[in-house]
Amino acid sequence: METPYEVLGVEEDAGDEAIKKAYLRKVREFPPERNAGEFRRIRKAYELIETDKKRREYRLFHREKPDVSVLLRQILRPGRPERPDAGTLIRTLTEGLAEHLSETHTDT
Amino acid sequence: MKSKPSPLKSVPALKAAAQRALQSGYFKDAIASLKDLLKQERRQESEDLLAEAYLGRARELAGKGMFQEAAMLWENHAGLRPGTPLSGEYLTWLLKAGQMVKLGQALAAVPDDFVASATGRRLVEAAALLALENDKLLDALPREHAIVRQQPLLRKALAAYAERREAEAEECLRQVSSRSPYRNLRTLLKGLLAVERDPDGASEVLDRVDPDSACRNLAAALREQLATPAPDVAAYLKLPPKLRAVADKLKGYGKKELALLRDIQNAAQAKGARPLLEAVLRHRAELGEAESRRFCLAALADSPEAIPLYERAFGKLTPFEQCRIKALHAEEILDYPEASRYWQECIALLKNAPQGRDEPLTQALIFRHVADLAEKEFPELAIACLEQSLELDPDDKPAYLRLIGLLEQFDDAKAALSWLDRAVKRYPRDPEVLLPAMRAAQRRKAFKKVANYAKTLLEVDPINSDARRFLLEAHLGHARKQLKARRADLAEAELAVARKLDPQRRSAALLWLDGLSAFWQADNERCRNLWQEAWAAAGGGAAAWFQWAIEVLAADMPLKGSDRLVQGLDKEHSADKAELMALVRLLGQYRGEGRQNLSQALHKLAPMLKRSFKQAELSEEDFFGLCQGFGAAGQYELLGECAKQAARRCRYAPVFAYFEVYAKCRGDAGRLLPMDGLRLQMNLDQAHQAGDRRTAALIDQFLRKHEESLQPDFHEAFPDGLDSLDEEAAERFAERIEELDRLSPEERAKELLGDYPPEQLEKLSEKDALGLILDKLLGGLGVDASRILDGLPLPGRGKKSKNTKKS
Repeated sequence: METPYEVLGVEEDAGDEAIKKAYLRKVREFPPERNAGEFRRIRKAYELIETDKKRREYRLFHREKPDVSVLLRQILRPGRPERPDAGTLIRTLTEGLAEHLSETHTDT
Repeated sequence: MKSKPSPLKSVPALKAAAQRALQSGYFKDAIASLKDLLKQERRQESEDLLAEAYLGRARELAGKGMFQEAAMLWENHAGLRPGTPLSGEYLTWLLKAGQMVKLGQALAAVPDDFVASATGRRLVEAAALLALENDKLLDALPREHAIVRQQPLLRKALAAYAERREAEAEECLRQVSSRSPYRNLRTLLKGLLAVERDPDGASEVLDRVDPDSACRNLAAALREQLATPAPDVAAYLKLPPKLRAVADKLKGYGKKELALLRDIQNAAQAKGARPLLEAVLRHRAELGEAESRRFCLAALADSPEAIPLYERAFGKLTPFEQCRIKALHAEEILDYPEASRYWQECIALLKNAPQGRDEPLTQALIFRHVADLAEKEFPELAIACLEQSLELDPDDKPAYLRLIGLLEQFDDAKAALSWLDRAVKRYPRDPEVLLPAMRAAQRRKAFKKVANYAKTLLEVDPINSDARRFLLEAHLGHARKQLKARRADLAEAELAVARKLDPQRRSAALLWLDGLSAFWQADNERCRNLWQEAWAAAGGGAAAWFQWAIEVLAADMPLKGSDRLVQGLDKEHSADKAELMALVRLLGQYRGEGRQNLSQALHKLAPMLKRSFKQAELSEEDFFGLCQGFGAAGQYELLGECAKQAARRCRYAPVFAYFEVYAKCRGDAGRLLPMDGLRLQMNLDQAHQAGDRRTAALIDQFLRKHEESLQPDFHEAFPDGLDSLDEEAAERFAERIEELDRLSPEERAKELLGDYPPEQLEKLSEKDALGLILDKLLGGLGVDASRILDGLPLPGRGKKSKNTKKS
């Protein structure tokens, strides 16, 4: 999970002015009409840390969920790709056949 | 072991047994009965039933995963009904049972329209995939079958793909037709061939695999994993092992990294966060120091007991940080009192910090957070927190508004007013603050203040309808004051301003007061006209009369005399539903405004209202609304009457029984008498049975209040007349009292008075009832009950003993 500071690209000790500038810069980069999802993310981040009071609240009460997948992303780096052999592919495909077939039972 | 021969039964008995078993879904029994029946009498009808029973039993066994047995029974079923077409479920059972030869033979016989159906497509594709590694199935299929013809092509393509002979693989795939059972595997392989040179193109190809194809899961997983260079680890970890192995190869993940990943994943699946923290700390060099630290710090809120572990790896946490983490943990497990305790510790640490580092704003924020936590369960505890937060940081409007709301909720009008004044000083032109300030000032009849607030608000927001209403009300309120003080000229001045604020003459109150002013000036004709207008503006009927009466009484005038100038109600008038509802609404409004003489005015209406309760067309819900209104306004006589009529007229009465008791106790649960407690308890049970949560909640709340009003220990209520008891008797008496202490009020009432019929209890005087209780308590202990009778308070009255005539 990115912190609002990371989303806006500011230091954790940045003040109101720096945060506002970074927010406006990001909004120019991702205007809502072009990338609504990203704009919402930026707006949400700004709302969390726009004033000293909000930054304190964030520091005190925000609970970052420990996300193991973010951590593992560091180690799972793609290397030289290999190809699975025919047997592996066939077994992968036939493994879930029974479950796959359980979904319909229509008579002829 | 030989099975026991079934006892010979008659044909009709076997028929009946078979029918019964079939209808009840006991297919095994039905099969046995029908077989016996067929031994005695061979009839087509019985064979049909047996076929039906075989099919039912087959499905039953398939549901239990016994596919081979299910397939055999289906064959028995089909054997009894020659010409039965092959069914999808039978083929599926064969496939699931691994009966490849039978499956191959069956597939060879299925008609084309079955192959075109959804089930047929799935089955044929499944068989095609199985045939890639199962020669028995292939051998059982006729040579001209599509699977037999194309299987070698696909095997070749798969081998060519794995050995990077791209051209050969593509050539093989080109020969697979778009109607082939292998068409989705062909698409999948085409996508895989494109992955390395064109990942985006590959993703598009993989997306073309049919949604109901057996290749879909693999295609979707590969799309997900191959879409971005950074892996979606969460999705990756959810993949089944075989799919993950394919992804590992295609992404080229190293063995060392995969081993580390497995280690971390195993720790993540263990109970509690500690094993995971330990694993991360073990591998923090590979995972990255900063990322590991951040992860572990976040994980501490799940397992604060791992703080020492964290500190050994990354250095000491401040006491404040430790408390903060523990508070967050307590919140996570919903232990709000514990969370509040840790937050209070945080505040104490800040308070004791050296000058300049005490961070009053942070303290204020924590106080507000604790108030949030408290508000969920004990809102009264939030008051002190919000007060302290505003002392430390007075610039927080929501905190003022929350605090004022809570103080009003707990009827601390004085403190609410004081905080409202502070809020108005800080936010003098803020509508959110001015509106509650106006409301409070109006309740105190500080009309000048109301007018000033309203004027300020209208400067900020000229079309604010609330402000206009408050301003009008302020002038009317002031006019009432002047009329009461017999200062007609000053009243007239206020009314003149009010008239300007209501140019369309919609306010009935203004017209009533205008009429009163005319009455004072002895202009009866004008008064009559104005009151006629007011009567219409008020909607007429009981509500209009009530408004008039309240305005006249507020001016300290008797109703008699001026009543000849108002339309009034006929002697035989009976209010309809709309009138009654309007009256109850008005009652609530006047009560909210703190208006006087409500009971006096209602008293005059009481006979008419009682008549109306009997005659008006009122539903159960209407009666409920009326009862609620009269109850909230403290009109217990009318409430009792209304509830009585409702109970008579409505089929379902628990809620009205509650209102009757509520009226009898005059809204004070402490006055609940044992018999009424029992009655409520019975109605509570009935409400629960009927699923009537609203009534159950009302009764439950009232009974709870009653319980709270009781002494913490029942025996404390007993006077000192018992010290003459001998030791043994005292001990027995103490035991009895202890037993009673353990009971709920209702159980206690049952225990003490349960031997007597309710009719008898209703007629008893308080003294007699006490005598019965004492007899029960002191019977056989050799004590003269009459000696201590005078000082003994009734159970249910609490410590604040009040005299009531009846028990």
